[in-house]
Amino acid sequence: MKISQRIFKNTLKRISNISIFYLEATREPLFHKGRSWPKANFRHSLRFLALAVLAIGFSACATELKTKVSGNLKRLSPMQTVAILPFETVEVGQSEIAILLRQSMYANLQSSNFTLMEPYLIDSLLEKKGWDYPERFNTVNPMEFAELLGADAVVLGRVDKIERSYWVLHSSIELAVSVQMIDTRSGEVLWKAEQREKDFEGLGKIPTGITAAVFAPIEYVTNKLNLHRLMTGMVSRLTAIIKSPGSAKESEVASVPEIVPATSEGLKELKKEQKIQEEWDSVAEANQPEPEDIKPVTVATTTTPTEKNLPLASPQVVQLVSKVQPRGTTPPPAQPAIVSEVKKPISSGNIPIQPKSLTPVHAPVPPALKLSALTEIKNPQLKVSPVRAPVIEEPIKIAQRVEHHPTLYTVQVGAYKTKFFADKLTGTLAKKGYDVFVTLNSKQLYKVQIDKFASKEEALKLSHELSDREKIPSFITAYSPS
Amino acid sequence: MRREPSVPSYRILWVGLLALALLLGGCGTAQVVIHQPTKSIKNYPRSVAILPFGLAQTAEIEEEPQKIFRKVFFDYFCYLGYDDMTLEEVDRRLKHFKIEEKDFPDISVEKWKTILGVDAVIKGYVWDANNFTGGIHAETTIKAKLEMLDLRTGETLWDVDHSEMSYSGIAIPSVVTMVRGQMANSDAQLSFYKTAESFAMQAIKGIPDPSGTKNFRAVLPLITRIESDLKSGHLLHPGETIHVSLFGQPGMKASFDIGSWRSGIAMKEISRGVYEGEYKLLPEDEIKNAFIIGTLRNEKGITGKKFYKQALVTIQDEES
Repeated sequence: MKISQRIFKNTLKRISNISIFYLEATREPLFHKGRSWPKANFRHSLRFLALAVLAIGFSACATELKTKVSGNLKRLSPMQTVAILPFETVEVGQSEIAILLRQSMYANLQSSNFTLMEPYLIDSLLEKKGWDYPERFNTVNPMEFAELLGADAVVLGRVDKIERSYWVLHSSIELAVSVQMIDTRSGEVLWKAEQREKDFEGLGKIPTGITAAVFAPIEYVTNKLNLHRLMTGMVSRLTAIIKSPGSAKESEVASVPEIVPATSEGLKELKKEQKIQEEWDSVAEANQPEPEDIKPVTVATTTTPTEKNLPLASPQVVQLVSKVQPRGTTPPPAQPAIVSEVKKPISSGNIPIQPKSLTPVHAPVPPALKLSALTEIKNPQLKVSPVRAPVIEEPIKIAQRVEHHPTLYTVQVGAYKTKFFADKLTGTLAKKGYDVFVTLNSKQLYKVQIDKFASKEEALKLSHELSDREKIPSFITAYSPS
Repeated sequence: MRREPSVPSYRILWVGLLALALLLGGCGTAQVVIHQPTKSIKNYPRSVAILPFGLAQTAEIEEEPQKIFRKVFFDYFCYLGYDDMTLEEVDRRLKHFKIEEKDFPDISVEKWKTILGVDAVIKGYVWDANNFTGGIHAETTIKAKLEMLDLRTGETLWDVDHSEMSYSGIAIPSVVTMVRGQMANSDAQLSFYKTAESFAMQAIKGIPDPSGTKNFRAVLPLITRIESDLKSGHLLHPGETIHVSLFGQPGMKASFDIGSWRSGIAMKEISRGVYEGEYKLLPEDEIKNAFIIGTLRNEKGITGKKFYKQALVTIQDEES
């Protein structure tokens, strides 16, 4: 007991002695020899207390937080999903803090008004897509994040600075981060913040002795937990506004909605494409021939039996007239484009949707729609017929008259249940210069076929060639696109 | 005559105290003991429920540290690749089955599985929770044991027994830090929260994460196509109706958004994998350059999205 009292007394004595060092106005020590500490000068004690308060005020953890929220942030509800993406780092050695920051932000935002997407799901989907570089996230159109992750908003973050410095009797840790939350549906910045936190240990914090003055700065800068504590405190302050957007001050609310550049550019491009589409439509409409004698030739379609009953669900019959004509046939003359609106126009009244059966009509191929987009439909239920997509240099809207639609022959070199193997063989043969393509039949078999011929004989020639050159068994079959 | 202790002995004591402070500041790390690594089990548990944590102390603490700790631990645990049942849902089910904390030891794993319908549960027990601020000494402690129990086998998969302490007192090397620590510690709720946060952060580092296993697959609900009757460049007017069709995985909840202006417009599955919905524009709608975005949501709440890129929704200004 006596020892603890002595320690306590000694500590206070040390504190008071140190205070003298700081308080220049006070020349004499607070505790004189021969006077016990409780009898210390009251005025001096007050001065010391004032000094301590001042020191605390000045040396408190320096925080610099610039934050702006959009009014639309309040619109996010539990029905909306927000994905916190991996944080970007600007220097080597920041990755650990980047992970912890993301983790801490995730934990802090659990009590927000929206649903958070599970990080493991985000990471897995990003990895699958090959987007492992957080430094490039800023350049990605948020729309792509929406389709990839299924998120309504994404949080992008960057560790701007982690600095640990040590100068014998003083050490400090500085941490700076910047984050923004972007609405993937509109590209609007919902929240933007930059925060810098700095804390230190050393003379400025009034060490309780020489030993403390020497060792405390060392401990402060070397102990990782101090950085972690600074970080958790920082995230807590940073996310406070997101947890209660209503508490934002007027100066913290963005007056004009900010759209990320990637979205603006994407929108411009899209508008251009849509304008071209409009022009195509108007030209095509003007040249529309009589519909009776026209039928599409090559069709890549996503059809399902149920679609027939849909008022809106157009069968999406997309005409793809290959520029590569079958061997042995003369190319048909160019015909006027077909334009028939598949989709019914916007109804001006509240007309209920009536199920009706649709006859296949021919939708024009939008210029923006690349063939790869057609072949990427992967749902087996929708029976995709991945006809080998020819390279289209310009939008094709020409259909053929089909008075004569002769049987075409092709050489089949393989049939697989797994598309992967079909693609593999296709790739190998394509490299060798064969006009190879894959079709999917009703039994869900991916058939690898080469070329199209007007006569069996020509097809047979190729079959023999394949047998000789490539040692691949093959047979002749009638070409059917789906 | 009484002799004053020599200065060096005080110095030694002082250095000792300082070392103690540094040690307390570090407070060790939470050691997670893994009984069953993710690799050793073919189907590592994915769905997990965190049961209410128990508290050993008889004296009631107003702040209920065990509840704070459970909430904080859940927030951090969600970061890992488990399908976490929300705490509210766990509590709701327990209430429904009239199960209280005191009944926990008597409940078999089979019964837990029936009640919660998850692969595993996390049980937590707070041995000691303490918040004290008194002049030269202030501390907040949470000493707890957590364990994850596989409800399919009854085996403990991992456990962690750790004591986390935030200390501020006489052994702190600077006056300002000491005073600041004391001030912060006086807010018991916040102190428990921060201590629980440190505990959870450390524990999470060692807890096995099933998302790293081979049989883990991240898949979103698939949307193959979205269609609308919107025409490119066509300006819309209030009263007009936008129709949207969505094709994708069957049996999901479907909705569509008009940019961020209108969200969650419900769609109906009119036939297997085909969803339809419509929205009649209202006079108060001010929509400009908005995409139609289709959403499919599965029973776990995971969503897939697809944009209709052929046209944008823009309502004509009254002035123009």
